[in-house]
Amino acid sequence: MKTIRSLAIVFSSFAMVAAASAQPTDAQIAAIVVTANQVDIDAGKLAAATSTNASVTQFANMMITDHSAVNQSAVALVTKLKVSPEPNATSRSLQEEGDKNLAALRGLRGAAFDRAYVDHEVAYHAQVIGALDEVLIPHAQNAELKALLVKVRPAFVSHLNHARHMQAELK
Amino acid sequence: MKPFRQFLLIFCFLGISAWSPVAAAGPQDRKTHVVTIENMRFSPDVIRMAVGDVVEFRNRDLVPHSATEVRAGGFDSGMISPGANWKMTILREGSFPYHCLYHPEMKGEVAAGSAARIARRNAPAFPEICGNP
Repeated sequence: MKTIRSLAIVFSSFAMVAAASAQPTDAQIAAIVVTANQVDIDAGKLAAATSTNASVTQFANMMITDHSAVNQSAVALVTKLKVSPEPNATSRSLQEEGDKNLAALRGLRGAAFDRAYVDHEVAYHAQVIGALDEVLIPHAQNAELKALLVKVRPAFVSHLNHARHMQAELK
Repeated sequence: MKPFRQFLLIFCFLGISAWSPVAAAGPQDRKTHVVTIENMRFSPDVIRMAVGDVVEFRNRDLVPHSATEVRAGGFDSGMISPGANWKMTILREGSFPYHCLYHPEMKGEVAAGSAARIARRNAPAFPEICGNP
């Protein structure tokens, strides 16, 4: 079961990069960024409300705080630039995957929930960092948008390292 | 009592119950040391300062951080929002390791006074902190 879920996550990672590789516009990049953050905020809220593991709930609350702050900056920037986020195949794929993840997590409790949530956080952050490096940063046209994407990357790397550390502890 | 020491005494009595006399630097020697929080790091991560100097933490990341002493009951900035700053003064010599409460892998240290190295080997002394001087 775990292998199937991992494969599904990896497959969707490739699908995301492939979909985004068609040189997204700044408006599409904005939609991808906002959706990616919102998806992880939603998962964090579910984990904070469901898990009884202190490390997991602390991490989940950090995801809510950090990704909300990033979205606040992103929305402020696109508003200033008068760019309207444009939903696209990648942002829709992210949202669909996020919804599936929430549905799967809602059926779990205890240690099984914690492991599934953290496994997904590891895969999700690796996926987003890959997309930042290969698609979003290279294709961002506006200098301020590109700078924001570069600036947010270390936080995502920190989240990935933290999630991997928890993943090892939960095994 | 010199005016500056008088100021520190009053300031700390207002904000902190535990206070002990320190060899405070004169106002002409009081410096501000800036720690920039950026790319999920404190930079510089180690600050060596004179007792009575000011440390200012400037959050230039997109996410909130804190500067929280590792020892329970020590200094704690609370949440420093993106773009915000927080200042403190340490009024006793010693070495005070801290981290970000939200991202525990982010670590730093404030070492105050000439006895900082000795203090690091021994049990940490209670620092006298005055937030937002």
